[in-house]
Amino acid sequence: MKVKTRKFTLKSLAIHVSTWVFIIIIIVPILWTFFTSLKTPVEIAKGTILPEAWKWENYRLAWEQAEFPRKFLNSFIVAITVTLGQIVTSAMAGYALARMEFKGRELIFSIAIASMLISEQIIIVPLYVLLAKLGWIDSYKGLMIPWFFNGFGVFLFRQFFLTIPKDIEEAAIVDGASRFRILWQVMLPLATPAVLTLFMFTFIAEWNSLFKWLILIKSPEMRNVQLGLTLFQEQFIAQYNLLTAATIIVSLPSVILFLIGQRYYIKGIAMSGVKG
Amino acid sequence: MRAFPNRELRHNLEAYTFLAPALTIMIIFLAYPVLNLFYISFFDWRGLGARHFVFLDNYKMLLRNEEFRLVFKNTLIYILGVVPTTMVFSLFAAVLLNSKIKLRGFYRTSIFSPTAISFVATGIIWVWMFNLDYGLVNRVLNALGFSVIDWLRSTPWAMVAVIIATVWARVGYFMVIYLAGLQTIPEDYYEASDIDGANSLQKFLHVTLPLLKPTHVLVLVMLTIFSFRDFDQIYTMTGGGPLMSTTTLAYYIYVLSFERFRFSQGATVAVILLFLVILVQYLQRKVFGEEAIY
Repeated sequence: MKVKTRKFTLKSLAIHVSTWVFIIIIIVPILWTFFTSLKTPVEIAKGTILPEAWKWENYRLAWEQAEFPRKFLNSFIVAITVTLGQIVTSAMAGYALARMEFKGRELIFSIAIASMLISEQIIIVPLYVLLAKLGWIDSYKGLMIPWFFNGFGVFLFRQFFLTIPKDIEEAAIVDGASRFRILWQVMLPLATPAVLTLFMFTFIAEWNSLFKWLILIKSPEMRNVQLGLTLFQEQFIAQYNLLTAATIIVSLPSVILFLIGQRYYIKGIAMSGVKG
Repeated sequence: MRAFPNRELRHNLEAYTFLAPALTIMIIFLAYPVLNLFYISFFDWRGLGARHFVFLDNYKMLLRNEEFRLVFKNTLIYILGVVPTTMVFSLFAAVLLNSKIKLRGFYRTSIFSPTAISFVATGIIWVWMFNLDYGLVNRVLNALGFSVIDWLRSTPWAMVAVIIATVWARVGYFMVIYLAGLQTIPEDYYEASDIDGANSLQKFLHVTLPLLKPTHVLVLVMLTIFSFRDFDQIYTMTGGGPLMSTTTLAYYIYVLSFERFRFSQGATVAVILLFLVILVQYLQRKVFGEEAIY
């Protein structure tokens, strides 16, 4: 018995120590960034770990000098529109794939899955050419509409609708409700976890997106937060207190959303491991 | 009998009404660009002005081009640097945090938190960590008696720095996938090995590791495909340099198309990248016979 207890505590000690090594490796760069954001340039050069007087003023300076208000607005407008657009198209397509019999169902499902392999960089040249022809460069439309389809969203809703028992809608069908009404009034409320999962995934990805803005945006007032951050980096390369403050400002919305909806985000990641 | 084909038609119509929004966007902004990508790669075109049909000349030129070979090699180094390291660390983190320890939720959230940060922010955090004079990494090296390294401006180290930043940001994501995989291992297997007197390491080697095979395959493929796409952290940390040593295929598409305005060459590299991604997916199915969505 004694041996067993000792072994157990040794093992749990080992687990705790290794876990803390992990946590430190992950947390230290974030803390280092945070502390830097509150220092004066002199303190940065001296290399003290903690700031002497916490200069929250740096955040105001970074917010103003990076001209963040407009960039926050742009990021938010595009992120929320793309997110809602994806929820609508994915819920509709996922419902058809889960509940309707039609020609080409398997094919369309495979295409939706395969589409996830194609990244923004792969199609950027032809997409740029197309958006230029449409006159959508440097506009919200160009940043939003091409992103209204998401193969993962279609997959997510299909999988979720498959788990909902059929008798729930059959009652509504008997009552003579149209398929549209069934989807919006019966199925979608039941699929709230799928809606929240896609919301978390798409909103955070859009908030964090750089590439499409870098290519498609020309005028300063159309920039988003990430593009703004890279430009701030170029301009204020030597002022690490302001640069780190700007980095934290830009990261806060997605981190807060993430902490609130972590459960759904994790569900989505685990879903991507589900066999199709 | 006559009503039947009508009903079928009506069902098809109804289904395609529901699919229409997703399909329309997919066809116009994904399928058509993919086809056009091949088309553009057969021309000599700089985005503006005349196009000359050159068929496979762009491909021949690229394959003979030393710069392209360097970029291809960089991509392989990057993948070999990121993928196994992330796999090992995320598996290790998942096994640790699957045990019933106190503060497990806090630990999981901490390791997972870089997932919510953009790769631009991750890049800047690590530019600062790797700063020559004031960066924490060099301070630690200095304190341990090593000489400091100019991480982001010297050739082998810039790639190492980008790899470290990427692994740091990605371990949490794949830890979650491994945690989901660990849930699928039935408790009986561990109980059986307890009866056989197996220790923790033996259980890990003979139960956990082999039974996670589907998860290993999934993580391997997803990580490889993610690595093929990585752009933002390279853009913020090194801009592809020094001497193109951190330019991977995805980054090279950007350089060719939007820095040098060689649209056809950019499209050609994109076609090659597309084939590589499909190849990874194909190998997964052939070799492992797994049907995962990535």
